[in-house]
Amino acid sequence: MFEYILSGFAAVFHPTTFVLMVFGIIMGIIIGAIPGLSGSMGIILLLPLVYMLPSDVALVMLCGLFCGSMYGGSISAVLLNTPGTPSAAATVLDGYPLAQKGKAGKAIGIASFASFLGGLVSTLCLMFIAPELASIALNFQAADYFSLAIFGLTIMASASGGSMTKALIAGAVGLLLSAVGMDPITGNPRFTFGTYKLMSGLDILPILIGVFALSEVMIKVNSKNKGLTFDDKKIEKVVPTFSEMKGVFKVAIVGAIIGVIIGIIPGTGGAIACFLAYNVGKKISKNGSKFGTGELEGVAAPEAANNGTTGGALIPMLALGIPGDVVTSVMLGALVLVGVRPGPMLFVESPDLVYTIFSGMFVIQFLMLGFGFLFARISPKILKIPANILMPIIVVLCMVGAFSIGNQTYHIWVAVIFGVVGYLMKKYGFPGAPLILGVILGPIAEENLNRALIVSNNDISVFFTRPISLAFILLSAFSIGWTIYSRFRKDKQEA
Amino acid sequence: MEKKAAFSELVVGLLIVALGIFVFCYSFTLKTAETGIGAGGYPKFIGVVLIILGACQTAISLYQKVRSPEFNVDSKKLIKLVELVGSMMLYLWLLPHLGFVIMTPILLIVLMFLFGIKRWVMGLIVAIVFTIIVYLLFTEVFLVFLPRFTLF
Repeated sequence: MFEYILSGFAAVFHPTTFVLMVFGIIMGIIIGAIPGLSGSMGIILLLPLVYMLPSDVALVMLCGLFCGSMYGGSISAVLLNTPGTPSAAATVLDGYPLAQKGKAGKAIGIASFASFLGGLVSTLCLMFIAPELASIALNFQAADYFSLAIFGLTIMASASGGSMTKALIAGAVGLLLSAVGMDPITGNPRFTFGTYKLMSGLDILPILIGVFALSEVMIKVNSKNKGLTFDDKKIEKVVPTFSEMKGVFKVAIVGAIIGVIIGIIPGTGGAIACFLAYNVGKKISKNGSKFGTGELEGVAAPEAANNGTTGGALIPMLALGIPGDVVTSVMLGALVLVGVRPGPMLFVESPDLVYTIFSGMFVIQFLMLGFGFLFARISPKILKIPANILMPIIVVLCMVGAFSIGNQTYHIWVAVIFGVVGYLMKKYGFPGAPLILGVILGPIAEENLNRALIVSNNDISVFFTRPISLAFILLSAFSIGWTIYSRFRKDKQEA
Repeated sequence: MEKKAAFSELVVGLLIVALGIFVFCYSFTLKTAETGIGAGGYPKFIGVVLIILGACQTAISLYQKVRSPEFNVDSKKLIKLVELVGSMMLYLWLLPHLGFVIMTPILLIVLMFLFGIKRWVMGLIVAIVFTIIVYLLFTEVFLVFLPRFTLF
């Protein structure tokens, strides 16, 4: 293991990897800082570049973007009272009051420090938990994999926030989309309706571009510019003092641990973690009663938590092939694109790649701390990029990204069609993440369903007699049952 | 106040049931296998899941008592959306003939107009400069050959 870690660090400090990692962090901070742009959209915009890079370089760059976007969200939360990403929603509560008191630099500085701590804790957890989880997953058989895929979809649907039925429908439609093209078992065309372009199936990338990026532009075209303004004052005193760092250390560490735990649970993410950490921080802090009036601890807790989710979300993604949140589900799609199939076999077949990611995540936290302090000073300029120039640019980048898959306008058509689908999904309350997860998990589910039934001679009891498979089925049933029960209870309380 | 489901919730539920029935029926046209699921087994499974979920969605909307259909569509918003999607489609239709370098600044300017740009000169400069940068980056660095003018 130690040998792999060392070779991982050597790979990270290779000039190309290092430069692209820094590029990923900077892009992440900028994208995270701009309200309306998220880490998932950032990954989509970088896909043409990802396509051209070796898998380890691409992965480290995407990890940089992921962590950077988590931190970047805090900048607009502090300066504009608008979180750049949903993960920074709780940062607004104390970050903006600090900015109003003229301590915007201090708030962003503490956000950088807490993000660093959160990221570091989550990276250490990633390094130790992911290989253990993968070694357990190596004992999985076909029936277990099928049940795991179903578990991944149900838990993401349960945690998606809105209607669980709609989230499950989105997941099932994703599974259906994955069935388009040549059937992997008999080689016969399915759902192609005589269109030869559909023979090879639907690529994940145009679907990602459509559902997560173009649909967002379609929503933005009708959203009125609320005239976000920030007093163009100088951001000063960014680097926190030792006593300030010591003061927020406890809530930041607790926030980081909460972030890691929430991150590991598939389907959750920074948005849930930041509020949970804020509330826990409020309880454990001596200044808890002052939370909401501009407390540094109120910024540190959610920021440590949302960066804590980064490593946490990577654990199930790398070890099981089940993404922990929306950004990692987009990242999973990008990995499939560069020929990397995350899951337990990745740890056996490409340990060097896995440890490059671990080492990259470690280095990213230190770089992010430095860039965080640096960007705090120039952040007001980033926030001045007008949406009426930014959105058209995003459209073109999405189109070029879709085109670069196979040098065909066909893929752009698919992206635009899924953009409309994504827009309608958002309008009617269907989350996009289960759809994407369905497309990703579909082939795994089909292959393993088939294999399990062949081995068991078409006996479906195999899914209930294998302990691991049964555990996943029970967990799926529990997550659905619990969500229905808690919604029912909430409705009853409201009535 | 009593919660009522929008009419569209009921329509969506019924559409999902219809999709599930179509997928289920379609799966019977696919090859079967003696052991394992064959080509049709997986779509059949998805079809059943969609029918069940669609039925649940329909039942939920009926349980919440569906509001009578409302057709007060915000025409301004709809027109803007149609203009946005329409301009993207027109761009895609013309792209293979007129090429990336000609079509992209036009698309950018149209989109900037839809997003309500006021500083036109800056918009025009951004559109042209951005197109050139993307074209050079993709053709020279990433070796992605973007469509060229092919009419003559």
